[in-house]
Amino acid sequence: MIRRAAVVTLAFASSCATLIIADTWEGDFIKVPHARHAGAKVDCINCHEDVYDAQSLDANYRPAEAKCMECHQEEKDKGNCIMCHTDPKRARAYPKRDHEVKFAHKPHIEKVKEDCSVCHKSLPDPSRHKDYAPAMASCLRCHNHREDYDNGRCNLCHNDLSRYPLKPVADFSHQGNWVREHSRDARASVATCATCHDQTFCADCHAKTVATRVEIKYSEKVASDFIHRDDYVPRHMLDAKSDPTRCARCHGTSFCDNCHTAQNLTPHAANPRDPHPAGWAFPASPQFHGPEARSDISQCAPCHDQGPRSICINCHKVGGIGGNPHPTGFTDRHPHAEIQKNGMCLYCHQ
Amino acid sequence: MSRRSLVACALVMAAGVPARAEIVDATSTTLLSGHADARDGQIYTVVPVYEMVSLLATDLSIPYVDDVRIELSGWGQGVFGSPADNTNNCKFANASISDNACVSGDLDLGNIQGKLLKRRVSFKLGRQFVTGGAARITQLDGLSLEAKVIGGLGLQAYGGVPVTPRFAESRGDAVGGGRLFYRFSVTSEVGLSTLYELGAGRLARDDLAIDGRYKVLPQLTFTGYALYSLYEMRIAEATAAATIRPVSILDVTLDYRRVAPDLFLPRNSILSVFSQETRDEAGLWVTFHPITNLRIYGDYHLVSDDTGLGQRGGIKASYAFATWATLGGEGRFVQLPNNQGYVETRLYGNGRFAERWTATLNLSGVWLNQDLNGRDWSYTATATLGCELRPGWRAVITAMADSGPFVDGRLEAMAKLVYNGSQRFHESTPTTPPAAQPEVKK
Repeated sequence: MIRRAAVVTLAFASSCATLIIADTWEGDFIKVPHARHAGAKVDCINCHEDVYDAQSLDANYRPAEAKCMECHQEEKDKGNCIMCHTDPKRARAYPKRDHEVKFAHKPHIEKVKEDCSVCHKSLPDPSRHKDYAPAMASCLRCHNHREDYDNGRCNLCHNDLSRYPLKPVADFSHQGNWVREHSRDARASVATCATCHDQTFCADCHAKTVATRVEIKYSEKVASDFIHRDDYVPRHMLDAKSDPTRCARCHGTSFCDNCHTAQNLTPHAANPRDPHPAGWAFPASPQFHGPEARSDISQCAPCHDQGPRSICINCHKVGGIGGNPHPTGFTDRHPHAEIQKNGMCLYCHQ
Repeated sequence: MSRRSLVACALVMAAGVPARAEIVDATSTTLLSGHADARDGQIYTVVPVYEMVSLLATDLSIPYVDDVRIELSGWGQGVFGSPADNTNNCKFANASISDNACVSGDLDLGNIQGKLLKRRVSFKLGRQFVTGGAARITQLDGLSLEAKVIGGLGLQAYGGVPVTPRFAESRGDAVGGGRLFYRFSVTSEVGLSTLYELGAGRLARDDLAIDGRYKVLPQLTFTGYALYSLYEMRIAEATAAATIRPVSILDVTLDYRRVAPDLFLPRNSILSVFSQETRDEAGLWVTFHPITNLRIYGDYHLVSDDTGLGQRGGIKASYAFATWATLGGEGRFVQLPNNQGYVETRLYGNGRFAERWTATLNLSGVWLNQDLNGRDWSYTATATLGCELRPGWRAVITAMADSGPFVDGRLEAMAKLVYNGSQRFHESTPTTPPAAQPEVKK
């Protein structure tokens, strides 16, 4: 076993190392001092001619090297590559960009009479590194988006908000114990949640077959309000009693059964032992199972819900010592005639 | 991986063949752990290895379909050191590779989605979640459609096969339903929905639900939900809540909830005929951040069922030291009518140093009202050290120690490698005309 563990550890470590080594190239960055160009009275159109007719951001509207060479050929001839490239030995073209909005420059440039600074308040400069895309506030100076926002039509401008770092916290406060509370808002705001969250995000917790608990997957997220944090086994039954339906939302009965079987807590375990308190089967006992079962039958289900093989049937079938288990008023909703139509009834009513 | 998962995956792939993904977001988490596993008094050392992958391909171009996306999420697992005849790990596995090793895996999501008819109709085909209304959150293999009828009025419909947990009995043979909704604004919506599910050839669920969220004022929001079992003619769940924000630093939510636990069992469960009791709870949630760096949160709920009154609640506070460190603490309690319950306390902190490194510490203790296995307490200490290896690459090492009713002492070590990146495959001329520009202010 130890040898296998060592092999797996080694394989894991080597795969990490391979991945790290394989992805070490930083790449080149092209320096364009926009302020200096503007100071030299170089108009935007001189370098960014194509963008004036652009109907989208999909193409590359940054100037090709030939455009720079119209003025800077002499520097290149002198071998002064460092003037533009941060790493001339590994010089490359502009990196690809991931545009988050749909935007047509052409009508906007006409509207602002070719004054790009109406939207572009700051421009890339080697001495400053930040996001130079105009802020949404620039758009809102002219465009009234209240109705679009109210109708959730963010896709008119935004390609994909799931990557967007900002959340509508003013309208959907993600504060407090949001993990526990979010279902209240989510039930009636499905489309709004989906605007920012992909289902891969939901799958971390809600998928029926997760590999491991989120508490383990994200052990470094110590501030998160995970439900099963730390040593949850000793208190899981108390949480289940306090709010049983919350467990049932995610866990099918067999989920519990498998673990309980491994702990020899169910009748079909290898060495079964009775987890119930003394007097569980005796009606005169204060620990009798009847009231417990009536108050929350979903607690019985994890171990005793095997259809026709359920242990409950042994005593509660017609003529059994457990008597009629149906609650008051049950036969008003389910008359005797239903028995022959419902195969489940026949487990007891044979 | 089950046959259904494979089919779902293949369907998605087949549907996506003519498409070309412009942007692919990928997340990969590799996790290696080693820990002691206590099973009925026996301690086993197990070494599980997990690989979890999710992919999201967007900006695909398919004729006549807008906003095409493909979502995939799946995982694989190998567990070493578990005796195959008595373990919960191997019992769930798809295949045993030796007496004490097994492998497993599954597909959580695998769907293709898009919008038709000028984005008035959206579809999703494959393994997916259906959320909202009577569906709550239902995972199924099938098709869901949503149509915007007029104004804020819309209709959602879905059908398929419910996904069964890999290690569980069937959750049903077929499920279908729909939701008629009206959206007043992004913050206000009402819906009427239904869900019908068959299991083992018999009715498993037949529910009707109404849901709503209405922001009356910027400071006041109401939410409500009621789920009614048409088969039992009883309310399975009803909730009502009001969220008040008198000032920007304070959120108060008052809520009431009634549930019938038996109606959370499928109607084809033999236990569903044994009970019809209800439980009520009422309480409040409060979030308060008097200064930017300090957040305080608390909740309290009174719970009532036929066995008596219980309560639960907690308080949590965290303080952020600029952007490089946070300290926090919390306490929670659960008190059941029969004097069972527990108190939990926790201290935690995290910090960033040397730009790329992060460290966290978590200490927690639980005190039970009644002995369990001869002990009424447990503690856990967890420390992690993380490093940003490269943009998008992160490694985390975790060490954990705990002691409690089932183990005197246990150590666990874990190593994790995470890749989280976005790749734009090519830049090209536009494949779809740009969206209409919104109305300009006059």
